[in-house]
Amino acid sequence: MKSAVHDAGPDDRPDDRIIVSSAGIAKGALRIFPIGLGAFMFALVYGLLAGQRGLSLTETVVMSASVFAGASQMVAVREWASPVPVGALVAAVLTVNIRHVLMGAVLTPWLGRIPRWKAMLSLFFMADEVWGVSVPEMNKGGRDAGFFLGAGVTLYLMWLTGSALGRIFGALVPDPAQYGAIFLTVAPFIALLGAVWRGWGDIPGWIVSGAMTVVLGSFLPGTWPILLGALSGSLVGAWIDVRRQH
Amino acid sequence: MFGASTEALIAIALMGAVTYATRVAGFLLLRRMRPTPFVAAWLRQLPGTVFAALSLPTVIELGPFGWIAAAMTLIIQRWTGQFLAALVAGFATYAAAITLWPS
Repeated sequence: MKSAVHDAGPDDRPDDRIIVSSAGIAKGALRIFPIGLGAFMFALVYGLLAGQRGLSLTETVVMSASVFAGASQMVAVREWASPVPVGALVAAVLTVNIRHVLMGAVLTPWLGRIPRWKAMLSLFFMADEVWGVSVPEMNKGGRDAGFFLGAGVTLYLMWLTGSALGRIFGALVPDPAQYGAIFLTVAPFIALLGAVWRGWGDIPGWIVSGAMTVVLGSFLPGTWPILLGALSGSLVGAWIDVRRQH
Repeated sequence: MFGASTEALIAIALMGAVTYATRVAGFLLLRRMRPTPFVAAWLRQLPGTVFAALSLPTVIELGPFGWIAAAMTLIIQRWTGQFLAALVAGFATYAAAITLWPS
């Protein structure tokens, strides 16, 4: 696709214009739906864990409504306590969600050529899966950025529904403490490792991250070991990544 | 079940604001700048290393059964792409192991 990062002007040919139409919205909604079923199940697990960590139904659903990012919500729920550790929660969410910065930049060919308010609205609903279906649609020449909005809103509704149901009905699941429930506290993050895996080159960064977290955990309080461990691991991983490209 | 503390809602609102900021920052700012390869690689690495920091210490604590259950979780996630299936498989592996071979 030709790189066309500019605002539409009078010199643009008609087929350079990007629209936002209900047809595009519907197309995006349909495309995301099967993926949304998986996200719905993730939301059920999130709701269940949120309940076990002491969040009320309102808090569980409002978090899904305002953050709408499953991995960071899992991390936040893990750190949840009373009184609420606001700084740690914001830092954790920022760290896990910083990848959105790159994702938003990739969609510029669409978002840069629709009214600014529509772009800002659509971006609120940009989850990984939404981005994942929109980028190919954009790159193959799609002209209707409504696709991005339709996929986002649809996934959002499925996410909220799953969060609420998981919170409500998760309370009915008996706590299998004697069967090794401690593994359940880390299982979501191991599964997420599997989801973000891009190749064996990721492993050194993960090992450094885990090792540094263990070491730092022996003398640093709160979530500092996790944040600093992840920081060191990600820098090592980035260095390896960049070296391998040359 | 329906209540929500003010401090919780404030924290959640801040989390939402920060997350929305990450969503729009790329579009608003980076389209005028290109992140260096290193910065781009670093941003890509961050989520995985956060998950590793959150899980590896406990897996190490749990010993061999923890490693096997973790491997099962990873394999099922890669194989099926289904989050719930991976959790069930990993947990079932761990629960079975500690039940069959109590230490």
